Amino acid sequence: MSDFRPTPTDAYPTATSREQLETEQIISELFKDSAPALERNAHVNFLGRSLLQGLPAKYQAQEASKAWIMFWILQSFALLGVGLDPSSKQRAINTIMKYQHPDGGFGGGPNQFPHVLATYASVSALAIVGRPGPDGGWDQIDRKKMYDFFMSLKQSDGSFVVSHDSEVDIRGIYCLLVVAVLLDILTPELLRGLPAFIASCQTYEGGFSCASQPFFSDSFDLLEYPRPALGEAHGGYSYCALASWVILKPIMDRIPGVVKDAPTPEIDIKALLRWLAMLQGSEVELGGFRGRTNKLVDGCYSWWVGAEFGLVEWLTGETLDKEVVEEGSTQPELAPESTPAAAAAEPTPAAESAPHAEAVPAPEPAAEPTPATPAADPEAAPAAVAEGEDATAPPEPVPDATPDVEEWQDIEDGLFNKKALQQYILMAAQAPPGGLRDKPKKNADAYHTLYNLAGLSSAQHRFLPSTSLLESLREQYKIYTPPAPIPAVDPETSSQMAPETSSQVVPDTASQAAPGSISEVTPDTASHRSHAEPEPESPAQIQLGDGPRDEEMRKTVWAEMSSWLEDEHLSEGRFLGGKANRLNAIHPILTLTMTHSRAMLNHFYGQSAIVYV
Amino acid sequence: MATSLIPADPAATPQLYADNPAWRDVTPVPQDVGENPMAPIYYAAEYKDATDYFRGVVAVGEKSPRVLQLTERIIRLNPAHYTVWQYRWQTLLALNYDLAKETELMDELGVKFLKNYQVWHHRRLLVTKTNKPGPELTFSANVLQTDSKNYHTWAYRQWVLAHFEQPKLWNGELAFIEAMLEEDVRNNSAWHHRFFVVWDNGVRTGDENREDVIRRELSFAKEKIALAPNNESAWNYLRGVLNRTKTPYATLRKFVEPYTVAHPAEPTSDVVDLDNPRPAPGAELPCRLAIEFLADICEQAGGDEVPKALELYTALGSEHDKIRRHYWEYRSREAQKLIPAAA
Repeated sequence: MSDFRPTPTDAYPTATSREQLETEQIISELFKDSAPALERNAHVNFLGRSLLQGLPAKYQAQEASKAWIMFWILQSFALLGVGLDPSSKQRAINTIMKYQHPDGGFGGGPNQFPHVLATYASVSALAIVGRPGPDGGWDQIDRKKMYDFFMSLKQSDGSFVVSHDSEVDIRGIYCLLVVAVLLDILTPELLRGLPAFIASCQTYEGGFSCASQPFFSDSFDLLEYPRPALGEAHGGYSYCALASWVILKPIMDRIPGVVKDAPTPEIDIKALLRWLAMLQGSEVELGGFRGRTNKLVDGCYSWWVGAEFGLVEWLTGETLDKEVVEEGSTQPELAPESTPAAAAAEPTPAAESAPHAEAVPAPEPAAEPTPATPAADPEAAPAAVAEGEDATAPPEPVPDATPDVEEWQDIEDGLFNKKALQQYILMAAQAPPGGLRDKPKKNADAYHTLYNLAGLSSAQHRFLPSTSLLESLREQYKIYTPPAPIPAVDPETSSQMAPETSSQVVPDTASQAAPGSISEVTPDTASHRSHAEPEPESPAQIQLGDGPRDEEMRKTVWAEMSSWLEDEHLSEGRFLGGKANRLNAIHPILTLTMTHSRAMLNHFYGQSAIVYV
Repeated sequence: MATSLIPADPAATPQLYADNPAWRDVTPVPQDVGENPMAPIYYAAEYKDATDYFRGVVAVGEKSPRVLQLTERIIRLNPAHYTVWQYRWQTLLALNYDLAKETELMDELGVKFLKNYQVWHHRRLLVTKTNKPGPELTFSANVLQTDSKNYHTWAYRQWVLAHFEQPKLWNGELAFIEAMLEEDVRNNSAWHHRFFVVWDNGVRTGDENREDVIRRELSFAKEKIALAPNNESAWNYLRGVLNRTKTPYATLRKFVEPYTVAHPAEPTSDVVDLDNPRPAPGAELPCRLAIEFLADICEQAGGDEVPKALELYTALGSEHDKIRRHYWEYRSREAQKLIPAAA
């Protein structure tokens, strides 16, 4: 690397350029000719200590972020291919369920008011460790009340406040949408006016700000313009805006507006892409991302900015073709990772314990005889065992430093420098005692650990939807048909499966249609039920607001979210530092692994036996 | 906050609510974490005591002056405790409390916890209610002296301007921005604020002649570029103005060209061309942002100019801005689509 040219200052230094140069100095000092290992053990132990042993008093300022701490740690584990044993999973579920508020939604911790951000963190954490059934978390989420909570936050310009008497913030929009997508509680009414609000947050630079100011005419109608963005373009807010936009795009024509006859809202993708590309730091900053123009690089933008490129690619029309999908049907990390749903059905000792435990420790440098589990800290990570490392790929303890592993094969895909980003994360963002950080000289924390790892994963993998898979999924989707009322339903059975929905009233249409017993239900009227046994009520039965659900919207959202795939055609040379540094792939919108995303989606949309080809 | 956790002087430790006779009527409610929770936080005694009593008053719905004292204590220990802020707000309303006094407290806490979401939103609730935006611009300007790019502060200032929509609030903004940019011409927040003031909020008094405004703003951006050509904020503003007003980039060709080469040719005339300020003597040229701008001019022009754009993209990706090679290759592929297919 001879390209360590400092950022030009034009002989006109200011506070910004001085800080920039100082930072370039401390980052570039960490450059190494060969990429270092991802210190998996150290990171797992760093996170495991917080999870299992707890946090000292100085973390009391995080009391309102307990749900986030759970999510940051559990999702980091998922990326590292580390899972919890069943009893630890249960502990995690019980911990998170204490955050649910009796009026709907989750708070930042127990006894706290509900908040959209905390709701997102809780539900996402439950996607990782939870499961259907009693005590599994999933079926104890009060989705009906959550929907009502969300509706109570709705503003007249289409946006949402993050909690009562709180601010409008586009992070809240993203969080609310992800939760509503995962739990199948999206309705046109909930989404009213949202696309135009999101579009109004795009600034002249191309990125998005945290909110916009609604303007009202004398008649108190919302004006389409001006709705100025409040705050400058920002990487974190931009990710939230863009991911929200990508969720809404396929259902845009089903969302009502708040302004009569307003044109379909649009965003400027070209400007957005330019701004994103400019946020990557130069060689002297090892290619990390900054979050705003003329600010310093920070490891967390590895995800917030890095992940946006894939979403932009999709918006410019990129998809995976059919051939890729079919050959990719033996995707390494998807098959072996035991889904939470599977874990519920059977305790899956094979997937949950020892066999892949060897996969977790990264090969330690010979000089350092540290055991896999640090002796100094026996409590640190004993509950954490591997569950997600790939089994189709050889479970070899990766050969160290063989030339073909080390060699970077520059793949001509993507719109940013993926090698450079991996460099920043591996060389500058790893904190020596474990965990990842903003930049050198800063302390590691769970937040920066997750978003550095997520950024590393997004730079290692290529993730796009497949149009053929999307088609196939739309065909496989089964619209929920309420079963005919059966006098002899065993209440035990149904309450066991779905306690909170079991008392729900079966829609009128069903009770009028089939007054008889199950034996009178013909295959035609119960098209998807080939056997005569009463089935437990499906989570897909949930009734929200007035009138019927928008079935097309439900189907589209489920199919679109499930159709994102990892491009399996890419070579192993994409993992800077070799394959030992490989992380599991991450859904670019839901920020979960594909396995966790699909398991939760299928449960709440009432889909089963889906074939992903 | 560390100071309250490690009290140097035991006598400085505030009295616990549990030891305070005035609070004897409240039943403290411990946090219901359940059995054996994960990632527990080991709170300091003072914090645990205060939050136990807070849950106690919430449980019975008490909204009294002492609740204000209690919530203030917790906020000082943990300003991100949004539940406490919400309950404090409801208590203020229930008591019909003097909001001017609350604003004074926020003047202190706003500076102390300036990176916190809640302090800024609480202030917004207060000012909405009191309808007194007057001092808010001064307050936010003071905070920006401490942290010139604080996101919350800039967003708050913009909200004050847009929400109250009073001409006298807007009048000083351009001068304020110019002072901020004088301090640091690379402060992107100040540049964004300029766009917000000039372009995003309708036509301000004195700005009725839009042609003049365009000229003024382009000239402002060009001068700042001349001063420090590698300042991305100024280029982004320039592009923003051109895009918003649908002004072709080509109108700035003469200005941009000297910035795209290592050694710009000397001007042919001694007359200073005010429309096209030249790079300052210390400028490090060629400037990648200028090369990109010239490429955009060529791409917009189309036809014979497109190959020139491709050349510039190649130069950027292979020489001037290698880190973004993939992006420049993408731009090049896109530009190639503009060339009519060769027969």
